[in-house]
Amino acid sequence: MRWLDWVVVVTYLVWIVTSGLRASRRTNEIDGYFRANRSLPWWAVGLSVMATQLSAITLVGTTGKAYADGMKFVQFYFGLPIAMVILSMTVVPFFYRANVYTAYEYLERRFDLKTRTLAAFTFLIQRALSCGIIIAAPSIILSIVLGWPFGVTILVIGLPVIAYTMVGGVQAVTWTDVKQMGIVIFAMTSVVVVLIIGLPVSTSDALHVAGAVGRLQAIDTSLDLHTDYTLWSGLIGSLFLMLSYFGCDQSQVQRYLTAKSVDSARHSLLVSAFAKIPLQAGILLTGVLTFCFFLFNKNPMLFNPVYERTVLASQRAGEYRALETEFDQKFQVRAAAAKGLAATQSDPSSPAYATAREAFRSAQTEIAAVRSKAVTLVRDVTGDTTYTDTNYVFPTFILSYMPIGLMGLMIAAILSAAMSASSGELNALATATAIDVYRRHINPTAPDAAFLRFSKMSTAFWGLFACVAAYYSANLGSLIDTVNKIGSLFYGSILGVFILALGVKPANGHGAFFGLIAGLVSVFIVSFHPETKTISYLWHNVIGAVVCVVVGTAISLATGSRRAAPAPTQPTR
Amino acid sequence: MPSLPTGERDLSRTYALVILVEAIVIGALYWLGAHFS
Repeated sequence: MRWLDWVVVVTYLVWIVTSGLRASRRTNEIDGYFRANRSLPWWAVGLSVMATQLSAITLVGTTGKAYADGMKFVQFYFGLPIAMVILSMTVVPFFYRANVYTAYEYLERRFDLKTRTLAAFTFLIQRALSCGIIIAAPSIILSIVLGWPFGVTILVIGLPVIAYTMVGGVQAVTWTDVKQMGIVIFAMTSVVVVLIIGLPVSTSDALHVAGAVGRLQAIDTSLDLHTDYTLWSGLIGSLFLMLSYFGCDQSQVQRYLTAKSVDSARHSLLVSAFAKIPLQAGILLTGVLTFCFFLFNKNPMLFNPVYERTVLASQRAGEYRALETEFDQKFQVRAAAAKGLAATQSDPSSPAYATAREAFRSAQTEIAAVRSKAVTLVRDVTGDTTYTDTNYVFPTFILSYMPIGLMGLMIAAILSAAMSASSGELNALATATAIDVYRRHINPTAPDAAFLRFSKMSTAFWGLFACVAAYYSANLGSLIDTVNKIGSLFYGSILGVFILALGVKPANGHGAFFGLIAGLVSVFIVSFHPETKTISYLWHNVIGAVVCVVVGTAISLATGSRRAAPAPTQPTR
Repeated sequence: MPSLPTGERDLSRTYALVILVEAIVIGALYWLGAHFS
């Protein structure tokens, strides 16, 4: 990084922390701290909803995924718009009128304390782990850029977020989210411009070349349950995941509880319903353009420089050097083949096109084989059998090819994404800890001042916990998959409890509690049993929800309905 | 049809538009893969 890039990054950090602290009003009151006094406009809440879901993983992991696998990951989001419509019609007005601070409060009123507590703890566990991974992604990049230890870069990200979230509560989170979304969109646009300028052929020709090796195949209509992303797992499995994430996960529920009215809360979700798939498609297309860019501009054989240095310092350095030489030769062959294919693509029916396409596909297979040998070598030397460098592809492009100033802006965008996602989650973790654990179980009569003090300390605790979790999650493979897979262990069962609460009249506390446990156990069995563990994790959400509802209903009918479903009135805290 | 609570608007046309836009976007993505393959 050069001096101007440093200026941009430092300016960003100072600006976002100070503006986060200044954006807070009446945060010395419980309602101001947790719900912004229900005063925020729909567009700000809508951008905050998107920012909380769009983490640095989305930028770093998704672009790397598109580089390696193409656009298929976009199908993950297909359930989102439908989920937003369903939630706008059902859960949003329900929670808003119920006047709750957390989604889990309602479960006690509808069922009993044990169901509320189990649901809150389930949220706390899975969200704390996910928050760690969200901080890990940009920390990896900073550790490469600065050459600092990984632990130090985690703290550089984590401490500013803890500071403004702790002091400013949900208002600081929302208003910084709005600014951070603006930075992310501007920076990604600048990356696309730099990528297109760096292509020696037209963008259309480059996309044809990428398409020849399947990078633009976004839709997979196969019915294979073991393929992670298909049209059906996206429309059905992802629908369950999104219903649970936006309807039952405190990190999202808390966002729309801050809106001015029920209609504002609905509109805030509909922002994502319209914009999320096009935005994700744009980010994935950026990853595909990065693939196109590296067809013509030399990239390192391995994208993780730390592991590369380890291999070069080992006794097998000679072997690695030989592979590098072979890689360089194959790169030249592939670049020539790509140019040949681009030159002939205007007439796909010509024999020259068929020959050029076959030559390019063959060159791509050969260079992938060399890279595969290098990866095997890294795994042998380092002992890291899960090594993958997908997450390093996009940072490598940024650090090698972005012009002065824009490199700093892109680093600021990655920091923005990490901070916006983790601040919302820290805020939600602190809220659930304070409302569902502290005030309900530990000190129900605590005065507001002591309660707020606990909430702020809770934010700091979860922030530091996330930093520790981040430290151990750097080598978990594709970070975007990891965070979604962890979430999918829990989401379906939690959704099942809320379906029982809102849609199954005979359901009672025993049914909901044991239904939730049955859902969680069934998903864990499916996830880890040798014969079923290859089933796509998106289906885990369906399995968890269905098992929870079926078991919960059966137990409720067997034990008898103990509590009728009340209308939402005053919250139970 | 039940009346809406005071101060709330009927968003059914917006919901229909969301589904329509999603169908168009999925169609566009399908075309992208087919056109550039």
